[in-house]
Amino acid sequence: MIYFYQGKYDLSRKYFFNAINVYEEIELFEPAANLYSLYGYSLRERY
Amino acid sequence: MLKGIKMAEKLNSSTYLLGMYDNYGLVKETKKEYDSAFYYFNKSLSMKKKIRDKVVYYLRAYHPTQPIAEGILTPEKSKRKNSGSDYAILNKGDTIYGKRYRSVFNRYNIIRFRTDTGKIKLPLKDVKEIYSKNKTSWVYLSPCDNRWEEYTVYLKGNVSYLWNGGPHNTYCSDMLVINNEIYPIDKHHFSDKVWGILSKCPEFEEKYKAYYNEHKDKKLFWRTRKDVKKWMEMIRFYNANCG
Repeated sequence: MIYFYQGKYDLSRKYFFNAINVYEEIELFEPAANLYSLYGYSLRERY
Repeated sequence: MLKGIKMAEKLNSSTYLLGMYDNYGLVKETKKEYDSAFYYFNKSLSMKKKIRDKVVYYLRAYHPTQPIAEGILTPEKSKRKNSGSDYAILNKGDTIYGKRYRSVFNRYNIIRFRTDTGKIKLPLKDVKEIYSKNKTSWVYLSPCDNRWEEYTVYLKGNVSYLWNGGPHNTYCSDMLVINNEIYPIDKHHFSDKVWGILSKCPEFEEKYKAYYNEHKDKKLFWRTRKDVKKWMEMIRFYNANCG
């Protein structure tokens, strides 16, 4: 999120998906779903 | 977003879905797809109603290092049986509704409320205003013994008159609040400082100059009901005609 607000969208995307992978690995699917949704929502802010 | 929503729907995770539907509605609204936006907003709202999503939060959030209260608070006035008409307004601006109660182990620096989500203890220093038993009280740091005290508001206006319920012969039991500053009524009637502020109003000065001159050198060791009545009359006059 910090990278997103700094305008570093590539880094932001990288860490978003890193976090999602970690959540999926430890089988915490609810926060993972939330992150997917947040990522989509952040695209709306961007464009 | 849809991937996230699908996952949450599969997991039946209502807590996350609420926000997701709401956000997705906003995305649709931005795209001017109002029908879809309405669909998702409505979906989110009906879910909120279904799980009775109250805005429940911990006060801990405002003081990350030092929790100032224990328990969960409801900022909305509840209709359940435990909730009373009492409330406390915190310095942060939040209001807690409930029924104020006093414990056997009462401590002067803590006030207690029974809300429908449980009991809560609030340090007096974090509270700005308390309403209980049809009386409003304000909390101030007592200039005498440097501790937080509750003062009942007897007159409210440009000049407010407060009393902490203690014996009238003690310094700091009565106070005036003028422009958010406190002025204890000490062993004199109104102090020169207070008189200086109040007498800026010509009508007030004219009406009470004689009274001030008569009493300014007299020391008070016990405030009588007559004194208090006179002060309240003066403050009422000031609030009605000045400021």
